[in-house]
Amino acid sequence: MGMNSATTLGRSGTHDWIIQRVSAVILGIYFIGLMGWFVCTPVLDHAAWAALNACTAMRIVNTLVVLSLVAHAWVGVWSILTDYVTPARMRNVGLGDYATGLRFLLEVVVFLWLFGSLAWGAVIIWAGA
Amino acid sequence: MADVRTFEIYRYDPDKDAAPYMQTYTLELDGSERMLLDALIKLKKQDETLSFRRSCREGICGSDGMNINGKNGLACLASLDELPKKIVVRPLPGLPVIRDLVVDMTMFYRQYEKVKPFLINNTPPPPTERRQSPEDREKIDGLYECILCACCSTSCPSFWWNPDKFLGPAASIQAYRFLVDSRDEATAERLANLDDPFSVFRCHGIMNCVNVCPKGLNPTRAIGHIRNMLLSKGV
Ligand code: SF4
Ligand code: SF4
Ligand code: FES
Repeated sequence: MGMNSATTLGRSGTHDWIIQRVSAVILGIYFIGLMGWFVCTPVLDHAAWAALNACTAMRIVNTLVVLSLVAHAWVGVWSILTDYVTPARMRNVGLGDYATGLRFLLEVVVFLWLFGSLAWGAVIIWAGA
Repeated sequence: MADVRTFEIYRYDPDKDAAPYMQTYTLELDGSERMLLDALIKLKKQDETLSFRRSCREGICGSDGMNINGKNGLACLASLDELPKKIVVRPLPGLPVIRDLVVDMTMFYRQYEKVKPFLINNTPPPPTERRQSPEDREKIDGLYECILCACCSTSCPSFWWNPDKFLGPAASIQAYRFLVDSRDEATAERLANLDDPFSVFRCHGIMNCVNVCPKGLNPTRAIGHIRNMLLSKGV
């Protein structure tokens, strides 16, 4: 599978599949929990929000959530790119020969963007810890 | 009242034509034609350059898969009574056209070959035969009936975009047929060969395959079973 499997996240299709589902469940639970917090907090202001996110438990949860988001996005975008930026697909628009190179370029851009976001997110989450 | 039908048929002879085109034919049915294939055979008498594959003319050989009014199917099972006055016939989508309705099935067969579609069992065979209980035999129902017509795989967008990496519905049905066969001993190796992100995981559950299979088979379900086997092996 050459370059293609080298750019997946898990070591196999089964791993990618599991990563995709587990990260979706984590994100789902997190956003439902967050909704609950918004509804149940009597005074919704910056102080309450800052206090919530300053505790270590919440920092760990936030890190996990950003990690899940990045992993979920990578598996999903990689799968979209390998569906639509392929020689067979791009031949229709006369770009068949460039598809593989173009996809690699897009993969690099998305990868840098997502993992840059991960690093930046970690810096924000753990600031002042 | 005479039953006159119009046929718009995809024509392409790479030796003569710069590009494919649609040719219109009319045919007055005399009542002896039941299926689209009967009409095509009559049209071929009018114009012998018209090319298509067919053999058994009863839904067994799988050679006359084509796109009929936008839906893949076998010409020999497409009843003229159920088709409208105007019938548009194109080759199966996504595969290279050799000529007219004849497509190059190499990529389709390559996926079929990849799943090792034969029983692997290295234990010396018993003097009679390798037995199977009726329950075990039932497990390959809905799988072994596949006639490899390619109607499903050529209606599957995932197969169009990755015909070299994604098994496609037809080869997936065959893969599962040997994975569940109680007489087969290569289950672990077979699963290991399907664990990459494309072979079975590229199925997005669009179910075009189920919609067109002339034998009423369900490749999406077979793919789901393979995934479950991979997951329970991996977890
Ligand atoms: S269900 Fe899967 S195999 Fe069937 S057409 Fe859709 S993507 Fe293809
Ligand atoms: S699963 Fe059905 S549509 Fe697909 S190749 Fe087999 S018989 Fe044809
Ligand atoms: S001619 Fe054999 S399946 Fe139609």
